[in-house]
Amino acid sequence: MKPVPFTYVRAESVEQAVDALRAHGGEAKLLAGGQSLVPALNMRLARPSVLVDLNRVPGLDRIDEENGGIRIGALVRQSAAERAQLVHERCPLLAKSLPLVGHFVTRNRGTIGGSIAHADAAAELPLALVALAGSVITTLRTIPAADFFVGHFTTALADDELVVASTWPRARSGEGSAFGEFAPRHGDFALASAACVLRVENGAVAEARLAVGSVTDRPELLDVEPLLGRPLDDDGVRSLGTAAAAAVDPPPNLHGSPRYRRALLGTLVERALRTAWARATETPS
Amino acid sequence: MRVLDYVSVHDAGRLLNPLIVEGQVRGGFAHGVGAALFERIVYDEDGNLLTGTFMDYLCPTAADVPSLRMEHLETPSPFTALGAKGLGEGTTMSAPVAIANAVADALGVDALELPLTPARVWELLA
Repeated sequence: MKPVPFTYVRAESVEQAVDALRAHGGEAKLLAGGQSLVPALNMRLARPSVLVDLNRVPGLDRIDEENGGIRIGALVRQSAAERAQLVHERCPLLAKSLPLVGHFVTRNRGTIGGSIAHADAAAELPLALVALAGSVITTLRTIPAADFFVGHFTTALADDELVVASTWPRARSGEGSAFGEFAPRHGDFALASAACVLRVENGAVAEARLAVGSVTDRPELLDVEPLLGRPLDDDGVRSLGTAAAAAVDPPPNLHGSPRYRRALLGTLVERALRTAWARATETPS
Repeated sequence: MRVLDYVSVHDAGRLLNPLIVEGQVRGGFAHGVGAALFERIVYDEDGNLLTGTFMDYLCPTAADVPSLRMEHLETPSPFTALGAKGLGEGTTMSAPVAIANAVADALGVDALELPLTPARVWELLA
């Protein structure tokens, strides 16, 4: 298992990385943590002729407070975010999804920006970002998460554009969130996943966002209108679980038929809703 | 599906080196759990192997192997100088049977195909 030959370019700044991308068009790939790219190279699933290494680019490895929420530099390692106090305080859904990303050792190297730019349909961070209505900051613009992810391994990024950071809105008072996925073993690609944020006001659901992944080719937001304006009850949970399962059409894979994956999704959606409600109502709103 | 408890009892005659015996039982158990719950070779219609890497061919890792209780009977063999018998990988054979029988008993079915993946168990429940 060896990659096809490639040229290695070490970028010392964002500008140098952009220049390298411009010089090589679609032939270049960016290397951050390399936890998805390098296996893909070695299995020859990816055959870029140029690798542009971002690891020496300064200033992209910071986690900062921004508008009450957080801004995470593209090169922040997943393990660093997992340990960051700011992430746990401001963005509990992100904190809950990080331990599900790959494995302990891959998170030591894998980056937040890399996972977002890679846009695997089964990845946790894109799903959490869409559920939270976060944004992706690139060298050219700010793109809302729901517009950034276009399909499996496909984003709105241009050939000469790179992810600089992502912004994650803060959890407000009365808000509860939950992240659920099912994988054959921990760290495997999930067969179905769901992320949910509920804000409860005066005992009723005031705002809700529910995103599903793995069963679709990108994180998809589902219609949660029926939940709004009343307390979360068993009927609401079950009908949304059923609706979620009916709304998706996952392809079969080695570990599950479409029917099984839809059923899994329904269960995960129900659990995520109940957990988010429990978390939203256990703190005074 | 969870393995709540597993007890493995072997009679290896006189245990010459208990550490090696326990290692063999544990390793064999991990193999058996793999066969019972995870490991599966899949080909497509044209005969292409679809499970050619450890990303697709699932083996239990340390975190996926349930805990194991071990007991030993020591009935010395009359045929060997020190009373020892063979033990290598014994649990590899017994674990799939024990796990499959537990699932068959729980679901009230008598024909099961290994490995008992979550998808297969779900089909049996549906």
